[in-house]
Amino acid sequence: MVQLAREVVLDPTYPTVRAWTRRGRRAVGCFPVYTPQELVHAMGLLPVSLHGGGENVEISHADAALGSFLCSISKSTLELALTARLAPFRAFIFPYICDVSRNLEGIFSRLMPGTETHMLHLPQNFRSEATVPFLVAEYRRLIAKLERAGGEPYRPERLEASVRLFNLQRERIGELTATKRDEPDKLTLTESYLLRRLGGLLPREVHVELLDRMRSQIEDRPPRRKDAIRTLLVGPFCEQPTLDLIDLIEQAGCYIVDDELLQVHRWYGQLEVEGDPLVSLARAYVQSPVDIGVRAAPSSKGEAILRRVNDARAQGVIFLTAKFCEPALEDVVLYRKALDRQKIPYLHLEFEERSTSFEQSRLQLETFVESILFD
Amino acid sequence: MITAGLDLGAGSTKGVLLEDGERILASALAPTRGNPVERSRQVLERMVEEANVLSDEVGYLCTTGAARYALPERHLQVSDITASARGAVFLVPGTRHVVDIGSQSSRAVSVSETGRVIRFKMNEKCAAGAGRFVDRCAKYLQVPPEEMADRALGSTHPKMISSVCAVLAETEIINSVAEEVPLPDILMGVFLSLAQRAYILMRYVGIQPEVSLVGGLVHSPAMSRALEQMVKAPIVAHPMGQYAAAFGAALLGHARMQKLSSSPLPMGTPGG
Repeated sequence: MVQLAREVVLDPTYPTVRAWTRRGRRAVGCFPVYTPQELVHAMGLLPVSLHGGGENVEISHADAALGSFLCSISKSTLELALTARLAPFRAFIFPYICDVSRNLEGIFSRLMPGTETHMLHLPQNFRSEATVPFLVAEYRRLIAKLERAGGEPYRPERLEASVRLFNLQRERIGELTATKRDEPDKLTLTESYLLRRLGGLLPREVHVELLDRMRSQIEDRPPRRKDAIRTLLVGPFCEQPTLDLIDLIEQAGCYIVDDELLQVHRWYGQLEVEGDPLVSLARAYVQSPVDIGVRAAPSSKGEAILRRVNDARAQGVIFLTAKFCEPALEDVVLYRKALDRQKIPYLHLEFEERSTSFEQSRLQLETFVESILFD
Repeated sequence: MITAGLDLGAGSTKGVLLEDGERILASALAPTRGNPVERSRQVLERMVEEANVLSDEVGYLCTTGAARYALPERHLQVSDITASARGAVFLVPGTRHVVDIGSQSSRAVSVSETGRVIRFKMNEKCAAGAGRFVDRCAKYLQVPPEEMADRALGSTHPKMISSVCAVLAETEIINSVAEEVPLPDILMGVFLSLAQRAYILMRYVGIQPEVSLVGGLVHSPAMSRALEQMVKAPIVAHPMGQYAAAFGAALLGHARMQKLSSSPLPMGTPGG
């Protein structure tokens, strides 16, 4: 199952989406970090998480439109579009998480005239009474675009049904991440990551079924404790590290007991619909406990990282930030100050999608582990 | 209890034999010349001979350095940053900051009183920040590498190299020669340029005395002087500083051996 997941994730031609569209259905590409995928689903469309091209996509066209000082995910996503590998998609949603994502939406709208593109403005002020109505209005703008992209007309009861399905998916993913936190030897970070990543590529019912099957398999695994360091992984919430690098982190002697990978599935827990489901969806976004670089912190960033270290019972923190990712890098300074105060060890590594040599990263990871292992 | 530490470096292979994690029995060094396995076996053999012990008496072999995974008979491998930090504190007790300028890379490490790594920073994929840069400059300037430091110390107005790239630095050095800048000033500029790059790393981890220089340039008084000029504090360059990582490996090997003899290994090794 994990091998199959690896193949699906590494295939930049989106085989699951092509299979879906061959049946006359339509798909919508959702750029990280958060989009209301329940809403896309409720309109009869398949929401698909876009995570760039990964290590298998050579950039030959996108460099003409995007500078060398920009993150890899922006370039590889554009490359996929320019080489027709995003042809199965009828629409794209870009949340305004940084200047690059905002401009990418503009580039897509010009270069892909047959598709709908939408810039989703997510609020940063979580205290104002206007925040939820603002987000609901944003969702209504999105609904209009999705209807133009071939989505079925919006109906609140359909959204409620989608929320129930997505609740189930979040519950299963929550179980997976809880297992990684409480019994980190039961599954590797790579396994946990691949299983979660499938959640943005498959019809959600299929993903829930798959996680149901995997749950019992994982539970039955015999414990195999390693002399490894419980570690919190911070930073890769948008561009994704290569699978080789994800593998390497645990090979070097870490147990990643909590991470920021694929936050869209963990933005909130069980969403209770009360009254207008659009309002409930907007409120869930606003009240989310997620505290990452693209979101203003309800408390201070320093307090947030210490709380997360404590909750995960982590012995150290790895900042794994994509090159040129400003939102991730901005928070690192604040996080470091708080960790320094509490003498919690950390390591900062940068990555790019198409990195192939990890010797320097290996050396740094091993030193980090050894600095905690040896007194 | 004899432990061996082998540093399979890119430029040279260094080894030390320690008894009870304290007494130095032997040390040896050989240029790696692209064959770290063969070289490390030779180094080990020489040390066993020098110490007049049987090879079976070496109870634990810990490797470090760029090729630390290459030697199949090792018991454990540790990163060269961990190892050189331990080794530096062993050689110079009181060290709190280690600057390690190796052949292919430079690192700055802040350490605890036991030599545990607290923070570290290394240069990235750039020859201009490593010892090999000095070798290359020696080649451009046709100065024997072993004479670089002594001749640099005769400098009165060092000519700094502004380029951050080793390839472009070569052009800059050629320009200085064309401008008839005195050779000692160009040579001191090479060391200052290297020190400047190391200083960036050092500031990142926080500079706290004692500062120990380890690695291949430990025998270069010009390097120590250049670093002192940047840091504005004394730099300790122990005569055996080139062996710091090998010492660290031997010490960590000893610690591991003690732990294993007092209680069986409760879990697998990291990554195992």
